[in-house]
Amino acid sequence: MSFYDDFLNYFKDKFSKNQITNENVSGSIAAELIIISSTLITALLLRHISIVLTAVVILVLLVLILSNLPISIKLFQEQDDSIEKMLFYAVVSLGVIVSIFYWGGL
Amino acid sequence: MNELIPLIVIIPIIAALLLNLFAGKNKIIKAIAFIVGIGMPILTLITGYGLHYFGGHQPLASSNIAGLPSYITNSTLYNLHPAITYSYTPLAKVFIFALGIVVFLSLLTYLNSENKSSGPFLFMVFMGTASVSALILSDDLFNMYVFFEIAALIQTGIIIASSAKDNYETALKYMILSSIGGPILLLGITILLAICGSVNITDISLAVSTLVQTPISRGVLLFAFSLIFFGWLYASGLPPFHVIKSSVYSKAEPYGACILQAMSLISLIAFVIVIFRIFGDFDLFKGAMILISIIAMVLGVSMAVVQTDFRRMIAYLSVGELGFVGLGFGLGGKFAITAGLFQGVNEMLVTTLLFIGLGSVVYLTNTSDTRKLGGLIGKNTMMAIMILLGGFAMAGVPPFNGFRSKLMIVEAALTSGYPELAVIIVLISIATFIVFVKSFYTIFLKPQPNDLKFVKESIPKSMIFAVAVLLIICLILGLYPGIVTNPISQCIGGLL
Amino acid sequence: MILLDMQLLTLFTAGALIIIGIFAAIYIDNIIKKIIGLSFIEEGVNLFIISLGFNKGGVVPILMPGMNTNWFVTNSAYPLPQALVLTSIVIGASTFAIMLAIVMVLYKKYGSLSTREILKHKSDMGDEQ
Repeated sequence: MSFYDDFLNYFKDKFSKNQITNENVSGSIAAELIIISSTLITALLLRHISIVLTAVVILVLLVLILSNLPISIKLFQEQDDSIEKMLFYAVVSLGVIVSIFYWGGL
Repeated sequence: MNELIPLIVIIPIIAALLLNLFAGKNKIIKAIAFIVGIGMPILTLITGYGLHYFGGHQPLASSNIAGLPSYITNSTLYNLHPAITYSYTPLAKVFIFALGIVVFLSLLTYLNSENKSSGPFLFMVFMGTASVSALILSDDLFNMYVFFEIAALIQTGIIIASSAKDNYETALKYMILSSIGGPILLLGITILLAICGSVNITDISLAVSTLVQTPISRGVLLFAFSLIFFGWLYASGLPPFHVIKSSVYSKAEPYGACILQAMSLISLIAFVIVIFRIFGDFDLFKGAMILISIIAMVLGVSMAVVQTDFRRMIAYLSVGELGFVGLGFGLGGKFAITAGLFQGVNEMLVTTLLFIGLGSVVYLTNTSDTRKLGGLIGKNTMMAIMILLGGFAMAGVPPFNGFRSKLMIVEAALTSGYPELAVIIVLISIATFIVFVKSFYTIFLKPQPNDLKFVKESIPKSMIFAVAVLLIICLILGLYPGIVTNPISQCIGGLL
Repeated sequence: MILLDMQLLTLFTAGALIIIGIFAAIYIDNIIKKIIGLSFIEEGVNLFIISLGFNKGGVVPILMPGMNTNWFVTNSAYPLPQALVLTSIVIGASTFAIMLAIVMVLYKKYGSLSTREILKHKSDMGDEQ
């Protein structure tokens, strides 16, 4: 159960001021698995474009995922109710959407 | 009876104004709210399908004026829609009827669970109903923008009217984000106006199909597409706006939250149909829809699993479920789009069930923190079981409606050659199920904490009635999905 | 002296206003200034709408008796944007009125106008209620 212990310690580190229950930790682990598996499956969709690209992207994703492991907690901290983060992500995604749509569709 | 079409929007507005006028007179307010709440679903049933031209200004082509000179009949002016046009289709009927049910049931719980009814709150409920009905009826982009901004203001108002902690802060955050999202959407609409010369959607889609062939106007159209797409993300609360949207739902009172989620769902549907009609032929459309839907589903569900506040949890789930609707449009084709829209109807009803049902927990204990709750099954067993069944309906357990629509989307994904999407859909449904089992255990089955205080002794009958009615509707739609899918697919067949 | 086209200048101004507004929304801490910045986005879009109707050397779009129809069609200004921009301005005004009203309430509560103070991040996993 070392993964669970690692996770619990990380969790306590981040949220030490609040009470932690079993449900929080198990919920975070469930979220972790959902995110990892669905990211990898989504990457498989690239096979409609190019199979080599899919292989490369999946390898890169695996490295990225393994190097930042408690993803659910990091994501959770990125998605809090802070207005600065929300505005930042809104403007960044506006930029990304406009550039991808414009140059991708020409 | 085409003349009744504008009444679908006008009657809620008049009701809203009357309610504001009689603020303070409890009995009159209750009577008006109740009558209009019942009257709206009935009105949608008796209204005939068709088009309504405001001011009677039909396009020249359909007004049959004899002896027009040839330089008019040969120009595009001949087919241009000069008036704001409302088109009442089977699709609009399904969604406005479902909205009517949601509004009626949430008003019923509101009027019975609060001692004193507030005129301004009811004003906002009816104004919001009118604005989203207009969104789905309107065939005019600028008119849609106006009603959409009214809906955004109404949503802010509903949060301010609640008694949750930090509701003003959330309202301000929502407004700050809305003053970026709204103007960007308007900019997209204006670019379309500049290049097509009209704000009528039928005219625009006609013009776009010829304009797209020249490279310069293709670039401008793509720019407009990206801006309107961003505005759509903001309107429906898909990522990156899922955080503020779920925060908004969780800060409103439960009966307000069901109306808020119904409003954002209908704005999503209305705008996605517009985007599909105008830009559906672009290669980017499908990819963008599929990608944003997957992101919404994964982020929504994974955020819902880690929540400790159950109102926030349902809010994230309802945002995640929106991804299924987008997925239907992303897969394309009549069957997939029908499946997505059917899932939209189901989501609206089921989320309302859960907000009202779990609202009874807030009503009893005045808290929504799952760590402070437990053992509530002893309080009202029937309610607890109905909530569990509602959760099953959302997760896609047969024989409920969620199962039907998710199965249809899975089928559509498999037939269009994307088995990965089917896997993701099943995965997300399982995760939704986990969320429900987890929260049901913590709220209802876990031993009751000693310090849990009850504010009220029992759940009002109206809440049990509302949840039961919604559960029965879910069951009926699960057994006979044709009630919803037939009119929708008939209407989508006309769009394709 | 080179005179740029009036419409082009207006479009540049509109774009500049929108970019300044987005910049202000992200970087400025004072909430009133932030709202003024946000109103720049709205005004930029409004300016863009008005500039669409512009027609160099154009006439008022009212067809008088005796006018040549073909000449009128090519020379009149486009009348729709002016009608739309009025609605848009009204919507903007009401949105900002409500925002400023909320700011008033929050100022009474916190005694500060700094965004970091009044909208400070509160973790969900814990201190709710």
